[in-house]
Order: sequence, then C-alpha cells, then structure tokens
Amino acid sequence: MTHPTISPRTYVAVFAALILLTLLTAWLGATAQLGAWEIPVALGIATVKTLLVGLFFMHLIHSSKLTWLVILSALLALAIMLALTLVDYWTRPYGPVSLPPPTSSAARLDGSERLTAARGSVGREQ
Amino acid sequence: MSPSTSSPAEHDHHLVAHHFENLEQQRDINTLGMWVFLGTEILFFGGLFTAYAAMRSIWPGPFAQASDKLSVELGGANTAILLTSSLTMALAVWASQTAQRRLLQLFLALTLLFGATFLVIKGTEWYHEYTENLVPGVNFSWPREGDPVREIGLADTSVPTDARDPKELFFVFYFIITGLHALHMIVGLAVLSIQLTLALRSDFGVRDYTPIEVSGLYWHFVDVVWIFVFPLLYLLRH
Repeated sequence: MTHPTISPRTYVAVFAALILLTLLTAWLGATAQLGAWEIPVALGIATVKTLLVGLFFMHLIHSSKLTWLVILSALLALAIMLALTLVDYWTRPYGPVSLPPPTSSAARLDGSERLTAARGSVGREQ
Repeated sequence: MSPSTSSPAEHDHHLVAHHFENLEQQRDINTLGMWVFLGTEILFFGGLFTAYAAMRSIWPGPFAQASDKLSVELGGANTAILLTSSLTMALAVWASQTAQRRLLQLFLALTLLFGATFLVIKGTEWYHEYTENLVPGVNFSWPREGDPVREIGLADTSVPTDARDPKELFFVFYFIITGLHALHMIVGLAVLSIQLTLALRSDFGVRDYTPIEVSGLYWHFVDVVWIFVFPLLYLLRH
C-alpha cells in the first residue's frame, strides 16, 4: 500500500482558506458584537482551521484507522478533562473574594492582613 | 506487499531497520509514533487551555481588559506567518515524496525562515510587554482605576495571589502559554535545521520521506496550537 500524495495546488487552496478564516476571526474579534456567541464562534472557526490543517497538511485524509484511533483517544481524554474541570468550576460559588470597602486604615494594611480582614468579614456573614 | 511496491522496498533495503518487514511498515509505524506523541501534546496544551478557560470564566472582565493590552496586529501577522510556514512545510513533504531534492531544500529553508520570523515578532511583543510593566513576578503593575483594593500594591509580591489582580493572572497564562509554544517552535527549528543540513549534504529525505513527514506532523501541530492561542488570548475581549 502506497500513500497517495496531495498536490501542491490543493495545499495552496487549503492555505488560502486558512488565511481567509484568520481574517474572518480577527475581523469578528475586532469589530463584531457577538456577545455570548463570541467564544463559540471563535472556537468554531479555530476548529475548522484545525480540521483543514489536520486533514490536508497532516495527511489525515489518507491516514490509517489506527492513527485516527490514537487522535480520537487523545481528544476524548481532552474532552473529559475540559468537561469535568469546567463543570466543577461553573457549579461552585467560586469567584473573586468580596473585599470590604477600603478605609483609610485598610489602605495602610499590607496584603496579607488585608486578606485576613476580608476572610474574617466573609466568615462573619455566615 | 504487492510486487509493484516491493521493488523499491528491496532497493531501499539498507533504510529499513531489522525489526520492520519493509519500508512501508516502518513508515506507518514511525508516523504512528509521532501521532502518539502529539496525542500527549494535545493533553499538555489542553491542560493549559482548561485552566485558562476556568479562570477566564471566573474573571471575564479583568481578562478582557488585560487581553486588550496585546497587539492584535502582531498576533495576527504571526498567525499568517505560521500558516505560511505550514504551507512551505507541506510542500517540503511533497517535494520529499516526489524525490525533488532542490525543492526539498528550498521549502525546508523557507519553513525555517518563516519560523524564525515568527519568533522575532514574538520576541518584540514580549519586549514591548516588559517595557509596559506587564510581566508577572518581574514588574507587573496596572494603573489605578476605581477599585482601590485590587489596585494597591499590585507589584508587591508579598500580597497573596488571590488578593492580587486577575489581570496579572491573565498575563501569567499569556507568558506560560506563548512561552511553551515558542519553546516548541525552537525545537521544531532545531529539527528542521538538522534535516536541511542533511538534505544539503546527501540524498536525505529523497530516498525516504518518512523523516520529513514526521517532523512536518510536529510542525503542523505547533501551528494548530497557535490557531487556538490567537483567538483565545488576543481576540476575546467582550
């Protein structure tokens, strides 16, 4: 079994598509007001670019099933890491410590004292 | 192995290690080996992106403000340069597959040139950020703006991390992610330099395209990492 080669013409076409997608993502990032859609759209464009690089530049279009299995295993592990980590962070009341409003004396405290004071105030609220 | 493909395999007998049946099998296994390594690399960079996503979801505002300090122009130019280097790398593999020695040398040299240009631009960005006091642990400071508790003594490293500015945390991620990416670029440049030297001195890469193909896979992977770095660090500002 010999590996078919991909023609330079195809490589140049893929490259042109990659540059266009880069311009699109930069333009959307700089000007468009996508709000909550900003991150999904940016990640979607990056995923399409990754597919183009992987399928053509990295020859996945002609690769064996074993190679695909290795890649999909790594992506499955990545998905587990991302999903379980983010589900944990997104479901905890985890965020910036609410510090007491600064007073003239608080401003003179050093950082560790200030943090202790903040933790103390959080404790008192409970 | 069909007779038509066994003749080059016999011809390349000296290229095949003793534990492989033929060049084709050796090529498949070498390529698979690089993919296994890249699988671990996916998880290596994936861990950094996971941590970045978790922290960004906690402090979207400060992270967006900090990201605004980065140069979209330089980051975008570097994206284009790295994509161009991937094109020349793919063409180097094609020249290797079709046994065109001069083109192989040319495209390897061009890939090195674009890769080095990327690092020079990245270096000027880092230097600019250093002069703007944006390097955590070295000189990070941010002008006061309304929230005094967060703004006092930002460069004071005695302040516990969670009392310091999340904008500084953004730059911790920025320097670690772009630094490790640049380290991968340097490794790639070293590998390609050796391969270009060998290709200039001998028929390396023309007899057997496996080494060029395998280093090409690594080079494209480093490009893919940047494809995610650019939007996630430079562009998401709202």
